[in-house]
Amino acid sequence: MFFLLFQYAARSFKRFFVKNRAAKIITVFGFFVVFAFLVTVVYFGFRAGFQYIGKDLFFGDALFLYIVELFLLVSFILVVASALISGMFALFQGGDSPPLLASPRYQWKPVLVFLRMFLSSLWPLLAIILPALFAIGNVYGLPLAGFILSIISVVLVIALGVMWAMATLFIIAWVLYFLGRRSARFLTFRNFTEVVALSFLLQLFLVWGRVTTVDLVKFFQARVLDVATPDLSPFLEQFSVLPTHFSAMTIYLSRTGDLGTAFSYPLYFVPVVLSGALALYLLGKHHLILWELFQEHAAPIVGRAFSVSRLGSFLLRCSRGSSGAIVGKETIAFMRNSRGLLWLGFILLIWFLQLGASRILSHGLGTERVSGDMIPSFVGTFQFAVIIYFVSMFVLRFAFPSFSSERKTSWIVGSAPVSLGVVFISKLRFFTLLFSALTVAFALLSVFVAGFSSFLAFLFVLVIVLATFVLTTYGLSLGAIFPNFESDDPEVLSTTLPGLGFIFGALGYGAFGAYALGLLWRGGSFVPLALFVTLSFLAVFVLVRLAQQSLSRAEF
Amino acid sequence: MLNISDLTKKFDEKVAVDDVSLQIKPGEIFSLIGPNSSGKTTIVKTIAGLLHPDAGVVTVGGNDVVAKPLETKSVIGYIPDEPVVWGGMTGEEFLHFVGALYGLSESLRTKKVAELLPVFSLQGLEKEYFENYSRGNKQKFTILAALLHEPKLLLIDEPIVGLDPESAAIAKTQFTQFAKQGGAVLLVTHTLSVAEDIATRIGVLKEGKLLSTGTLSELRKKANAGSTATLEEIYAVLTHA
Repeated sequence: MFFLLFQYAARSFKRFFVKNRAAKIITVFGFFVVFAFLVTVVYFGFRAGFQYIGKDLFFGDALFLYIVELFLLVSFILVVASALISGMFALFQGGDSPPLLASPRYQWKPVLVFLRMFLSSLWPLLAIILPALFAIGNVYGLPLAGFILSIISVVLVIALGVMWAMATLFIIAWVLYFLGRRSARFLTFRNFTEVVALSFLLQLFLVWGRVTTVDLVKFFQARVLDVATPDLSPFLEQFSVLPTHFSAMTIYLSRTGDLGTAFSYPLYFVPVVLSGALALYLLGKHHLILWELFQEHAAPIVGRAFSVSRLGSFLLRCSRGSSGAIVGKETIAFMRNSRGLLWLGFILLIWFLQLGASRILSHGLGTERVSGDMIPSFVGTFQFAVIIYFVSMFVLRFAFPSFSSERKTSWIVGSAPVSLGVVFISKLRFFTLLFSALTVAFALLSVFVAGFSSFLAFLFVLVIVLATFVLTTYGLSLGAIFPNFESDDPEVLSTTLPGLGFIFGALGYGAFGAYALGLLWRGGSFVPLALFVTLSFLAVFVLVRLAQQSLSRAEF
Repeated sequence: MLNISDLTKKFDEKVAVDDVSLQIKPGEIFSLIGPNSSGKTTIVKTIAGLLHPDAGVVTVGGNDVVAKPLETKSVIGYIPDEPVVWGGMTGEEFLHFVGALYGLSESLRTKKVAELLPVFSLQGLEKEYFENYSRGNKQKFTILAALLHEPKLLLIDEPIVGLDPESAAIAKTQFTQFAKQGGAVLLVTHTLSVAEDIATRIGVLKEGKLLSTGTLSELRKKANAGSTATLEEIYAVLTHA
């Protein structure tokens, strides 16, 4: 069966290049360019960071361990969150499941889901871990055996993250099953989503409490002690119960050259992973019963839980014209798309983690904290770049595929007496409002975390809103100018050539904005920011014109 | 009502519709029949404004579909072969959405929706999500959506696929009544019995070319078939000639 699936995957890969071969080869090439760029940035970023830390002979070791612990923990949380979202759909929704579940090999379904999620989680993390390990090797020197041990430990962490997520899903599903007296009564996707989200937030809360109670102030006061190295026990006590600790210690000990002890950590952990696998096998052995019961509630998923979806219905009913109707439709389509909403939550979670990390770094160091008063230009520029990055992710995932993903429903608006220019502007209104609400909220949180002055805060929020509008226009326009009707999966559409073009353009635009804003904050010229604003408005004008021209020639 | 002159539509080098001309007057039900890939759906989509013609002129109520798309679309009701609607939208919301696109006020939409739901006995189902409907119910909602704004021309692509026999009969009655009230209907179908039952004229299409048009009796003559020959027999002769 696995050989057949492998053959199928290989054929799908070949089929990908049958149509629009040149564009797809450029896409793959572009993907590798982006990938190489990312790996290079990660390598140099870590190298600079470790070089900086390494200069502090007293705290260098401890800070290194602290950063590795935090990095692995955040990565683990992201793997778990991602696997929870993917696993909910892969394990318990219809999709492509029926053929396998109707076959005598139905018990393999959880195994296949595990493999798919494990492999899809593995490569992005390795793309960061590998250059980070090379950076460690460059700065501190890392023996080959230590390098291999570190990789193995990270792979085990990812496997554990996926297993943890799947076990959580199965346990919750079984609890709902038994609560409903072995019926489908409570096994609705809505109940399931809510309990899974609650359980994840609870786990996150517990981990957050453990991480943020590390007494950094006390730790840094160790400077007054007459010792050669700081005491690591406060860190070890806090992190020892976390599932990523063994991997952090493996990397730390490999770096210090203590390979014997470094080897013992993953070795101790293998039985834990094997026990987890056995538990997962037992939980998933009768997965088919759960899947069958989930199908009894034919799919009214997350949407009904949100009152905002009623807003869409209200907007639709009360709309006086096509523009209002399209905004209402977009609201409904967005708020009742459970998969999209969960991915929105996932991106927001990463964003919150980033903000949390900023807060730990800026406030956790007591009197030595990095404050907005001390280096506002750096903090502001960094926060601006982060917000632009997340807005770009939202635009790429939701606004950019907006036209292409509606291929099958395009007949409704296409055959109605509505100009597609009006459709474009209505979609732009909807997405700009949505993303602006998010970015303003996060911009204000950033202002709070970094402690900007009123003027800086005002300028910061204003430029962020403008950039959000420009990026939304940019993504939506590219999607309208280069519609792709080969797939209606937003995740697939985001990785096409225009999607990659969007990433390049958005990152360049964000970098320019951050530079212009930072320069002004450092007391420099106002001209770059004025140029940034002028170019932004010009870009919006040109993109809207191009998109409307392209849509006037569109066929469905 | 509908006038098609020398319509040609290509997809890259492939000619999907080749120099087709036909007219449909108010009160007529014109059925286009033909094998797969003969260009039936392409013609319907071109009239509906979903595809652009490469050559020829299509007018609806005297307005060119290319020069005045909004005017022509406002008098057309289009029922596609695949009734795909956003899964998270309810049937009622879908009808309101389509009504709003055609400029109907909220009060009029509410009134029309209440009038139309009983046609296919859909009362009670209108607040369910589209993804929960059977194919037949999806088809029924798209038929109602096409009738909502009281169009003058109905474009129907495969009208009864997925409908149960009772609903299929209701749909046929609806189309016939629509024509009796002065509307024009273009019906594209593989189900020859439907064309035979309700069409006033029939066109046979093959490889993008309109081979023959006429009433059932006229087609019998063209196919040299007897006076009792069914449309299936006529179709076999005309498309294999």
